[in-house]
Amino acid sequence: MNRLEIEFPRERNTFEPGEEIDLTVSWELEEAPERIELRLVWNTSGKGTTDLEIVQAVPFEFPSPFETRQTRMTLPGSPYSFSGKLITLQWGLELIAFPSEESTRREIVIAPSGTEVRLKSIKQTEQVI
Amino acid sequence: MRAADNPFRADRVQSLRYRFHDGDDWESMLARLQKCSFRAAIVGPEGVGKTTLHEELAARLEKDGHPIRWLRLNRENRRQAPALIRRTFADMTPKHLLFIDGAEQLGFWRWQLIKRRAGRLAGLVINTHTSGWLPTLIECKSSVSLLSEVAEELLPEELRPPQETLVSLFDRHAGNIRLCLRSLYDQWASAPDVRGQVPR
Repeated sequence: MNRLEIEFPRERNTFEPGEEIDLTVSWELEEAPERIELRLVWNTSGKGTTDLEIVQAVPFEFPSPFETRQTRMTLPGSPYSFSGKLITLQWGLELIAFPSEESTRREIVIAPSGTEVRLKSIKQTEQVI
Repeated sequence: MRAADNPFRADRVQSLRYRFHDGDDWESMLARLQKCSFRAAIVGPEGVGKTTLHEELAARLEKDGHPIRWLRLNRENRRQAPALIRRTFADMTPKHLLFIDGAEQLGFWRWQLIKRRAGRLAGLVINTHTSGWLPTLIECKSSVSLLSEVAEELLPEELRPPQETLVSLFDRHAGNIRLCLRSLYDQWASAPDVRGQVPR
């Protein structure tokens, strides 16, 4: 059975904007992939159309079927992870094997103090003011 | 509730597959399509799954080696229809099938022109609100039981809305399942956090 994994430093999945992180990726595939790619992506989710952007892509050249590799990634300064009732912006790391396109995804939070920004409704905001 | 945890969020709704009714299925529908030489219409009112079915049909035909070109029309882009049509036809070969989403946006003369030009193509499959454009391939229908099945797929049993809620939603939106699901999204958006209870 095929397996792809992404490990975070000290199992953290919340990070500061601009932070540099060391990641460990590993895979066990039945067939040797042509290449493996680690992608840092964000996507929106909610009531409307989903937007998605690949912000960084780290290729792992000449992969063998079973392997563990390390990489360092500098996270971008924005957009922050945020969520409201209508839209959520989520960051994720995706490890994809080609050409099979077998993949795994782990969600992360990129925001000041590592906490997703919660959007309040106008009513809630007025109450605070 | 966070938008990403809402069981009725757009990406989940868009991943729903078309549900055939009255004993119909893919095999019979594809046989009918072949019988009418790949020139047919998917007919039905708004929000009952015409585009979903059309897209699934395109995926199946593409998998079988039929090249497909889409012309997607809606109220917002109908004024750009001449340019869109020109662009669509520009690089089509006689092997292509033309799929038109929202054919009801075309006026009579524009439709006649497309129909004539599409005569040189391998097929023309449209979706539209009314019959009479091309032989009807399938009539998509809406029902409370369809809404109920969709809600069942999106929610675990213990969180499903009562039947009365679904009936009243169905009536309020005149059978438009898409609008019913948007209303359910709004209801869930105001609900307390149930993260972990709803399948991602």
